[in-house]
Formats: sequence, C-alpha cells, structure tokens
Amino acid sequence: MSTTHSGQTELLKMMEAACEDRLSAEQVVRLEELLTDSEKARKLYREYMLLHGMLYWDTAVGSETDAELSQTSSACTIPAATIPTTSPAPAGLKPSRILRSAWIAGLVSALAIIVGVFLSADPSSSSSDEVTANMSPELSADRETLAENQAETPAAERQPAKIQAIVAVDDTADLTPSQKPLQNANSNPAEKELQEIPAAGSSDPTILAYVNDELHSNWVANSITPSPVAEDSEWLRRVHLDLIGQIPTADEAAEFLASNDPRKREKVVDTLLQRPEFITNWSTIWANLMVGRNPDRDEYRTALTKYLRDSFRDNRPWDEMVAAVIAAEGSVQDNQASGFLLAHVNNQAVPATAIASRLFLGTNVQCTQCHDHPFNDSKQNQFWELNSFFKQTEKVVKRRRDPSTGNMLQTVSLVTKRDAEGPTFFENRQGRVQPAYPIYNGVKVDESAGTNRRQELARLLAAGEKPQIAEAFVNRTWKHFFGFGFTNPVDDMGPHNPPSHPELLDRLAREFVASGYDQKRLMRWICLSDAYGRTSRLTEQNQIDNPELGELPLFSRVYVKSMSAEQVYNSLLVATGVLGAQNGSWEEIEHQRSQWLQQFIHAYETEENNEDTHFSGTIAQALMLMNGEMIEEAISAKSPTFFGKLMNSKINDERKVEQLALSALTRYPTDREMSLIRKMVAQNVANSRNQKNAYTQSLQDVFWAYLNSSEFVLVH
Amino acid sequence: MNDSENQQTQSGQSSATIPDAEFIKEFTRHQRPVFLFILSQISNPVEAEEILQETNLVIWNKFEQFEPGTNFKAWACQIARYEVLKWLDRHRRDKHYFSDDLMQQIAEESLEESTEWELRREALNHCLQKLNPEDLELVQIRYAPGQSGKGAAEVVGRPINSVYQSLGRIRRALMDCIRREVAAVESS
Repeated sequence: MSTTHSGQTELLKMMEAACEDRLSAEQVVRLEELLTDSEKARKLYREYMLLHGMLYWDTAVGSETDAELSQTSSACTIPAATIPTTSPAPAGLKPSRILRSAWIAGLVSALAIIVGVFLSADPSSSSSDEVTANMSPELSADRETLAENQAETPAAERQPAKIQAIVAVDDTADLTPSQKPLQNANSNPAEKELQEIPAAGSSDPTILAYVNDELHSNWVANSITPSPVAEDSEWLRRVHLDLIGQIPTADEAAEFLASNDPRKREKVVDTLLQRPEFITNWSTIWANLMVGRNPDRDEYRTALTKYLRDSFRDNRPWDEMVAAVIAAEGSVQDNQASGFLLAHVNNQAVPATAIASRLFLGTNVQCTQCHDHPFNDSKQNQFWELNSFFKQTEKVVKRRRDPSTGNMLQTVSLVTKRDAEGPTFFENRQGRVQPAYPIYNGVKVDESAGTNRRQELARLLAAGEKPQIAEAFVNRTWKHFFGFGFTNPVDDMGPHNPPSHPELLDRLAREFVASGYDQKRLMRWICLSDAYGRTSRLTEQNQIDNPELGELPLFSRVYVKSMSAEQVYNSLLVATGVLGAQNGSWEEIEHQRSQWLQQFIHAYETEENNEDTHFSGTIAQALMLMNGEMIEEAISAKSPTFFGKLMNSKINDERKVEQLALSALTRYPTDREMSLIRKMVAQNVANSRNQKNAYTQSLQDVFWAYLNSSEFVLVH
Repeated sequence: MNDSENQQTQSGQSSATIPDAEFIKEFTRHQRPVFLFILSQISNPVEAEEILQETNLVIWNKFEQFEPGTNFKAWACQIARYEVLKWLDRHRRDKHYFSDDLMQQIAEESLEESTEWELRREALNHCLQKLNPEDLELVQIRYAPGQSGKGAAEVVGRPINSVYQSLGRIRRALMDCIRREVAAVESS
C-alpha cells in the first residue's frame, strides 16, 4: 500500500515540477519510467496536464472563462496584505544548526514517518501543506490516498450532496451557481417561519442536545457517518490548546489517560475554563485581533491586553466588552479599553470602521469602502454610515514634563468633540461627494452636536433580540474550536455567504444573548458537543466533509489546525518544563514572549492597519524556532527542566521514553516508536566510549525528535 | 517523413482556394482541444503554443485535404502529432523529453479522453470559484500571459519555493475538485 502512496506522491511532485519546467533530466527519466509502467499513473498525468493546459489557455489566451474569472477576482481587490509572506530565517542562525547531526536527522525523519502516519487527516491550512511536503512524505501520501478514494467513491454515495445542491438552487435562485451552498435539508426559510422558535434561555443539557441533534440530522441528510470519538489523548491535547493555548503537562496527561471517570472530559473543560492560562490565551487572541502585534502600537496593545485580561478573568459579557472599546474615552492611563480605538482612529477612522465591522459584526466592509461590493448588498454607503459614528472622535496628544525626572511625557487620549455635527462626506465611484449619516442597522442617530455618537453606536450594537454582534461572536468562537466556522471566512457574513448551519447558528446566537453573552458558557457548549469530541481523522464514511476543498463544513469531525506562534511557544514551555523553572512577573514573561514572537510579525503599511504573522506552523519554521537558545537550555540535562529532572529520576529507560512522548505529544509512544528508539539508543550507546553521555544525548535526541514532529505543531 | 511533410506544405501553399466558413468554424473551435492535446505530450504551455502555431500553419495549408463531415479533431490532432515529433527532433538536444513510444501512448490515450474535456472545463470553472481569493489570485498571476511560477513569485514577493508549493497545492485541490464535479455529473 505504501508503495502506491509514495509512488503517487512522487508522481505528483514531479508533475508539479514539470508544470514549472524544472524537472531535471534524471527526473524526466524517472517520470517516464513511472508513466510507462502504470496506466493509472498515465491517467493522473494526463489529468494533471489537462488542468495545467486549461489554466494556461483560459487565463493567458483568453476565452469566455476569462470574463468570469476576472469578475471573481475583482469582487474584492485583494489587498497585498492578504498574501502571506514567509519569514526570513532568524538572524544568526546557520542552516547547519537546523539539524544537529546526521543521526538526529535520521531519527527525526524516522519518527516523522511513524508520527506522521498517526495524523491521517489532512491539515487544514495551506501552510500545513508545506509541512507535509517538507518533512513527511507519508503524510501527503495519505492526503493523496484520501483524494483518490474520494474520487473513487461510488457516485451513489455522494448523491445526497447533489440532491442538496439542487435544493439549494431553489432556495437561493438569485445567486450564481458557484455560490450556492449545500444547505441543510431543513433550512428553507419558509419552513423555518412555520416552526416554532424555541425561547432562548435553555439549560446547558438542552442546548447541548440541540447542537448534537442539529449536527446529527445534517450528517444523516448527507449520508455520512461522523468520525469516531477521539482518543483521550487527542481530545485532551486539543481542548488544552483551544481553551488555554498550550498542551497539557505529562502529569496532566497521565492522570487523564488513567482515569475511568465517565465525566472526565466535562471536568477537564470546567477546570480549564478556570485556569489563569485561559485568561492569557483569550486576551492574547483578542489583542491580536483588535490591535495586532505591530510594535508601533505596542502601548495601545499593552493597555488593551490588560483590559482584556480583566474582562476574561471576570468573564465579562461580550456585549459589555464591545461597548467598552467602542465608547472608550481618554488615554490608556485613564481607560485601558481605549487602546483599541487609539490604535485605529488614524486616517479618518477608516481602519477603526473596517476592523470593528469585521471583528464585532462579522462583516467585511473593506471592499465596500472604495466601491460598491459587487457580491453583497452592503453598499459603499454603509461603510461610511458606520464610519460616521467616529466623526467626533479625535486623538489628542498632550505633552508635559515629568517633574521628578525632567523628561517629556506624552499622553494620547481619545476625545469626543461634541461640537462636531452633520454627516461625513465621501467620494463615490462616480467622483461625486456624498454625505453619510450615522446610521446603524436602519437606525439613524441624531446627527446634531451634543450627541455622543460612539455611545449611541455601542447601544445600538447590542439592541434587538439577536444582535449581529452575538451571531458574529458565536461564528468566530465556533471556528476557533472546530477550525471552520459556519461561514468561511468568519468575518464575511451576509446574504452573499450563507452559513452552513443557519438554524444552529441562529439558536446558538439567541442562547448566547439569553445567557447574558456568557463566553465561558458558549465555549462549554462547544467543547462538550458530541462533534467536538470526535477525532480529526477523516474516514471512508465522511470523506465529503472536507471544507478545505471549498465545501461547506458538516462538522462530522474536528478539522486540523496549525498551532499559532503563541501556542507553539507556550507549548514548548510546557513540554520542556521551562515555565516552572522560570521566575518573573506576568509582565516579564509577557515581554519575553512578545520579543520572541516579534520575529514573525509583519506589519503591512496599509491604510487599514492590516498585518500578518509570518508564522505558518510549518516544521521548517518550528525547527528554526527550536534551535534557538531557549530550547538548547530547555532540553539540557543540567537545568531544572522537565528533561533534567527526568534524567535524574530513578525510573527505567522505557518509562523515561514514555514520559518524553507524554510531555511532547500527550500520548504514550507506539510500539513501533518504542522499538525503534530502543534500537537507536542501544546502538548509540554501544558505539560510544562515554556511555552515560551517549545515553543522555540519545534520549535528548528522542525528545528533540518528538518536539520536531508534525504531530507537535498541529492541533488535531 | 519530414521531407514529404514539407512537400505537402509547399503544395498546399500553392493552392489558391480559400477555406470555407464551415472549415474556419471548425478550425477555431478546435484550437483549444488541439492545444490541450499537444500539451499532454509537451507539458510546457509556451512550447505547446509554438507547436500549435506550426500545426495551424499546416492545417491551413492542407485544408483541402479535410473531408467535411469527418472528425476534424482527429484530423487536426494527427497533424499536431507530426508537428510534435518534428519539434522534438529539433529540441531533443537541449532538453530531455519522453521517448517517442511513451509520447505516442499518451497522445492516443489523450485523444480518447478528449470527449470529456468540455465537461472538465466546466468543472474547472466551478472549482476556480471555490478557491479562496488569495489562491485564485495566485493562479491568475501564475497563468497570466507570458508568466511562470518564478515570475509569479516575484510579483507576489514571496520566496520562489513557497510559491511552487502553493501552486502545487492549489493544482491538487483543483484536480480533486474537478474529479468530484465530473463524478457528480456522470452519475446523474
């Protein structure tokens, strides 16, 4: 079986090279051999070349397709910021240090094979694709098999999806075919009106049952069987990463794996929600979203992070948090929540408008700023109407001399100028200047002086039975846990991009409002749902559930995510035990972290204050990170770290290896790993004069290899 | 073979008659399939286009030999086959290509499959629209006239290998998507 896989991977790789005209003469010979031998290979080759040719012909030479293509792409002029760039190697890192020795290289790849096979589901991001390509051919081979199986699935099995597509045609006749989603069988709006909408405010078990039923009936409608329930180790690792942003320790893992308590998962979720790392994790996530990591805005980020930490610590209702940042006044010293707007009121508050809309309302208005969005109803007007709420807002800089030191101090404050009145003006696409009044969701606020527009906006955002901020938050939170939201992307909701499970989203949003915007409760519903408890692996029976390929998600499994840079950093600290060995205040730890992370941040000089991280969760990058001094220190046998303590403990060799696997990967070593490691360690010790040293070094290398595996950097 | 081919070409050119509208229609309609047929053997679209131009010249000169009502595509592809072989004769010195036998086999199999190409093209249109905007843009940049993967990397300002990786991933995703679309149509 494996020869077919690697054969196909090899074939694909060579065809990719052929398309870019960079096949070596030897590769041509090899390709020729493969194609001559196998009819199947030739078929794949012809298919690939056909695709290559069609892309070339239709794009370069031009045909009717061209018009359609350019229409799609001009829907929203893609800002340069969305094209991810890859990080340059951190300065001072010689490539030779990336792998410590040939031996370790061997072990890394040997383990990558074993470890790689474990992850049969495809990683859910483009970057993880590169992981598979770089490090673990078997992983991509699995991918290919999946793709192949998918292609070979008898057509009859996929029939339901097709039927749904037809149903969708009737539902959304005004959309072009490509935009027609596979909708739930029961998502007909007319039908929905007939059904009684249950009053929100249900108990947790009722809500959980609803979530489970809703997803389940959708699986039945699509004739798929969900992936099996996740192994305890997979689930434990995932829920730790999702809720507190780091992996469990070896002890936590061992305890959980050994427990027979039928309610142990529920207990873990409840414990994690109370952990201090929960506060750090979520305040970091939202600080990244709201302000970003651009060092120019560091002051605002630091202040806002403190506000967020307080908020997550107190489980402050989401609507209050939104209102606080939208209506904030004063300097970051007076009011930490002002960090958000202070970072973005530049450029006539265009960034503030765009980012607030994306984050809080889940709508992407960047595209509508300069021109009408061809695909959705939101008009240029709406952008400027929202923008009009920020018309009175100004950033005022005050300088004063610190009497004790004599240094000049600068304070920047958000000030609402109450004498500003009337509409804002913008130039429409025809070049005419148009007025925009402060209108949100059809409600116009008094535009005369004396009205505090931002306070009015804060009020309007939370008005009504199911405010958009609730739906947007539910969608984003769901995505955080499952890897995909009800819409993709989560911040471009609207009639042009209907959700995969409209009723579930609607109900969760209502329940979220009824709960008093209780974020922890929402997370609890998600984490304890049947679907979240399943493995990320695709099976034969749910292959169509692959939103990676553009289909709507069915949540019959949890999709694989790449770790964020923060998750890698924190997890490394946990796995290596550096965290326990570290002293210092939250500020100091935070400072170290942000210094380390800064190398991955790329701030784009755009008018919308966009930025992106270079961190793409690839092994190659992780390797570079891990060769840093921090890790050298962290796995040194002398330091008071996890590894150092393990080496000094009296447990036998196999136990030690078990501990290493548990600590890095939250699971025990597989039999194959164990025998491979045993052999390698024995060999290594036998070939060395200093046996004790060789032994320590070997186990160090085993640990290293585990930390370097693709299994480590993926959230699965 | 080359000589007789050239002679035919010469004699074709000396003829004064002009192809009729029907022929021109067939000719135009088959530009795309003939190109795809050539590309199945050559893999480099720019080279394939050169061969297409040479093929067109021959088709144009030999139009009288085409019997209306017979299969234009088969006829044109046969000419293209010769042009590919001629082209290879000239270029085998600079670059390694497949053996004639393998090319012949691929060419035959391609032609057999060519009835499905229209379906696949429609599927591709669908699948392109399912790409995320970044990926779609990358594809458009890569396949813009005269562009290559390397050039695309310069345009987007990303390291060349990462662009190759992305393009490989996108092409694989498109291929999977086309397969599914085609299977869905065929089963209906």
